[in-house]
Amino acid sequence: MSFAGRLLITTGAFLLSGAGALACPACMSADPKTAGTYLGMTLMMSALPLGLVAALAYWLWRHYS
Amino acid sequence: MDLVLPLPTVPETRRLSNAVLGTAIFIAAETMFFAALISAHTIAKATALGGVWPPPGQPRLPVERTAVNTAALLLSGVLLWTGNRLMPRFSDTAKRCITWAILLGAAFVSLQGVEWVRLLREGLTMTSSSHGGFFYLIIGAHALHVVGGLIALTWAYWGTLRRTLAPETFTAARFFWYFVVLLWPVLYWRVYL
Repeated sequence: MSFAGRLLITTGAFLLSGAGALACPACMSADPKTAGTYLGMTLMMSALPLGLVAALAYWLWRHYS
Repeated sequence: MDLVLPLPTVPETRRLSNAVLGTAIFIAAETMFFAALISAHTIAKATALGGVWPPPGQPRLPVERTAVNTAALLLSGVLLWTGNRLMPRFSDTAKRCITWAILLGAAFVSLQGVEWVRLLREGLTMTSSSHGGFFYLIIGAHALHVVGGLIALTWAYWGTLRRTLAPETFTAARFFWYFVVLLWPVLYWRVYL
């Protein structure tokens, strides 16, 4: 498949899944506090492993440089 | 004919011990474990019925007494750090600092046990509410880590003093203890406050 075709399918899938996620009654309830908590925890759980790997890499670099 | 390329060598003194590297990786995994628990707890708290947390009818957590306990654990970490700084000379002060660090850690976990008995008597159990379930799961997991850390620290310290273990083993145990100490204020803030 051509690059343009793959890009079109990926973009379409992304847009459709976005609508599905917003329909989840628990994740995006009308309460902004709950939505904020979900968003905050999602950010934490996404950023933490990256931060840990970066910290470990920095520590090893400091140890050997 | 095979071509043999020399591998870059690291001086013995700068080589990272397996114990320290393994502990660092283990700490990273444990951080994710506790992050997942905190995340689940925070979401349960935010989505509690009527926004009331702890749920009605559930006992209040001992915030003040645990604050004193928190201070004891933090002091344990400071004493271990100080003791290690004085360690190369194996002075009496260093030994005293490390011994007190271990004793304060043991006092922390013992006092936590006393609080647990009190809370169980007041009706907070694993199945009494999601509050109870989260409390025993998160605080219990930390308590298990404290006990494991104490055993590792005592064993590594004793082995280093008797020169039956490499000093790196004590370093690894120290790192784990710092993790346990630094994790606690986060748990206290999220679960108790």
